[in-house]
Amino acid sequence: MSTLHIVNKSPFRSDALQRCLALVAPGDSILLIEDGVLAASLSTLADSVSGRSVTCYALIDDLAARGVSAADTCIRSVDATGFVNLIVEHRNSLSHG
Amino acid sequence: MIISLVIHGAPGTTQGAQTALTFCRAALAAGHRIYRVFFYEDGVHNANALSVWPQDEQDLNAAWASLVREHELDAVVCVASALKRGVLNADEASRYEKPAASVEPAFDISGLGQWVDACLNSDRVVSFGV
Repeated sequence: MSTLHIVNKSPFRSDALQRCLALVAPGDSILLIEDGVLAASLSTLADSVSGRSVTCYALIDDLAARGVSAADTCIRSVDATGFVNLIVEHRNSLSHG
Repeated sequence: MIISLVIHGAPGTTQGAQTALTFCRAALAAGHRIYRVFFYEDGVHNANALSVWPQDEQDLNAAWASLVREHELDAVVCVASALKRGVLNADEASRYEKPAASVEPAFDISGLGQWVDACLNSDRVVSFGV
């Protein structure tokens, strides 16, 4: 029963991402939205999910609005339709505030 | 698929209400059914019909009202959250002897039980602005 973990807070101002990483299980996915996409620029996230069967995504509009590029990292960018599809594909969603 | 949304964030304070609006539009465009949009805590400010936005900013209140009307969405404002933030309908304004009603008429004011009902009757629930 997979979970989509949604992180909307900057990793520089909140421990939401750290709490997410502590809970994430194999088969889960992480979606970075709003200020949460700032984590896409960190190697921490890639290192944390490496080998854990966890896929990371980020909302493309929020990346663009903050000038963050996820092109060279493990993070896949998705649009709003992709966000909806991720919700459909995972049994649960958990928004880490 | 049947989806419900709960929105905790006020427009202009956090991005959550904007993200939820975009998500809601995308879900409807993909053919999903939105069972209920529940506005909770500061999220009730999205239902304030008296908000006036600067011309160079997106009027999120109007955008939500338009989406709710266009798709006849079940948009519910938490009563406990709404009253203390001045989001009242005519009945509540009269009951508490306040000078005006402020809630957008396309939204209903009701209790947290409506969110429990939405959780029970939806395939997916998503929280925004937490």
